Amino acid sequence: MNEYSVAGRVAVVTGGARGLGKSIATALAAAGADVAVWDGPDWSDAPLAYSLASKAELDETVAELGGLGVRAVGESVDVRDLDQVVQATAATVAQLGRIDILVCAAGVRSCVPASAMTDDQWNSVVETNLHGTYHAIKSALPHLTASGAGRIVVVAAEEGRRGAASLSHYSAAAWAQIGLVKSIAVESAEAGIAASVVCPGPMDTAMSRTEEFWALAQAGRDGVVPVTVPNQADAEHALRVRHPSNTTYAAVDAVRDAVLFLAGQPGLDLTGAVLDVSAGLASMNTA
Amino acid sequence: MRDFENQVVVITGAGKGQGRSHALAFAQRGASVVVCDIGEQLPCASAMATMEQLEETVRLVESVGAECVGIQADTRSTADMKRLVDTAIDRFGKIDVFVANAGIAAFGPVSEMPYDVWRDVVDINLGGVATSIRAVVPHLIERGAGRIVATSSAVGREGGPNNANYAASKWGVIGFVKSLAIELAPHGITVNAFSPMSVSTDMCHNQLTYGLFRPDLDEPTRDDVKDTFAGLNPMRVPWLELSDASEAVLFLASSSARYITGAALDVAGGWNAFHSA
Repeated sequence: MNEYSVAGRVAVVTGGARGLGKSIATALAAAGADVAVWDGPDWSDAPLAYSLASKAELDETVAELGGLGVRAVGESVDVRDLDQVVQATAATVAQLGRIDILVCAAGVRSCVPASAMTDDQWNSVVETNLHGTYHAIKSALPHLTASGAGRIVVVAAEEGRRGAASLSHYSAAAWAQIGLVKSIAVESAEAGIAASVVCPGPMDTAMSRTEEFWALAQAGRDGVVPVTVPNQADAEHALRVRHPSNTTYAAVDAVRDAVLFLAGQPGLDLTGAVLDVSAGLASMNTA
Repeated sequence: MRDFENQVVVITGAGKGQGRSHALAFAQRGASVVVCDIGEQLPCASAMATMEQLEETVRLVESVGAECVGIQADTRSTADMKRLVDTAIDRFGKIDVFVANAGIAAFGPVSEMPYDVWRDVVDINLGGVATSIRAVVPHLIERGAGRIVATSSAVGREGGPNNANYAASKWGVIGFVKSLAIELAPHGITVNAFSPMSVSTDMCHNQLTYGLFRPDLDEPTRDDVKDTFAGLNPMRVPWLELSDASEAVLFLASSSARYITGAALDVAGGWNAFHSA
């Protein structure tokens, strides 16, 4: 029996205002954890084809979580900025008393070949997905240590297990996230902290509802199938054909459950693990 | 063997160490070489190259009869990397091989690591590799040929305790390289990573690194750390010689490797046999 429970623990979910992050935050709250949601960054000129979660969405999510009978707080934070993350950490601890679980789900994606990539595009992805993850881990670490049973779950990406055309920045950041977490897992085991990674395949969230993502999917694994009109129907067909699961997307609920599974581990037996929830794309990985 | 005759090779971080060794090896095999180095010491890192050392690299390359240009440049700067690429094209008309070698190491557990130590290592080892390679890609696409080799590490294949910044950066290099390999395959360009264990350079032989390997000793010496280094791999070799590293990089850049792309070549005394892939 798993006697460890997330109930009564304090969890931080970065990128938790909507999409996968919200699903994770909601599941943690439903399981009885107090939750701090960090999202709604003040970042209007992000070089992305979709808009980021707004402060209104953050407030709405926090209100919904509060309705589940746990303490829920929201912090408007841009994880790229270490100072903001340090402040959010302090504010979270001031309000909720501690941090036991850190879920790093904040991430962005754009689709562009390296030959056409701007510095702004490279930076937006690497600063958010890699440095943002580091900022959150670094500032939460003393609190996770104080917890005595700290749990870190980083949501990277399926592209962190292979190369991915038109996603060299996103792939590099995801690979680096895995290297970071594996290192932390070794370093922090003595403090009772478990650290692991979930690598989701494409999910049906805002990030995947863009013309550039549809074009990427339609262009195929090699990125060479000519795409005249990027569109959702052809993109979803291409994804279904490519996914060994025969599903269009990796289910948000399945990714959420993987995160909860890792966050709720009683011991360190799974520390350093990378769990692929990738609509079967993991079957193409070497390991 | 002068199999790189008439080829132009650009190497970052060539003021000393592996970069200098690669420059000399390419020169001995007939190439013209353009080298750069930041020529500046970052506080967190072990001894970095000076501009005098970069000039010495140029002299050494010229001494084997090859043409060489050396410039001061920071791989983190898009403007500097454009200048590096332009310098090579202005002087030699083209670039055949690009070796993204510049890198630094600085240690500590994340819980104690000053923020700059994370930032500098990741920005140079991953950001600099990507920035420098992105600068040369348009030229190689235009030519419809080219070889790119990026220096990763055996630590890019597993978790690195007290080395999370370095491990993250070197994992990131492999992801970048594999992605780029797919993108550039239709253009006849190969992109590979080179993942060595410790190489016998300043990055290996310094008090900071020795201390990491023998935290039980106050002032560990080379002899004190040798067995600890050797214990990392089943061949029980403490560190590679520079020639071991350069041979691997030149192989990836050679015509023999024309269908090798997206690889991360482990030269690690079998350390990699402990890794999943």
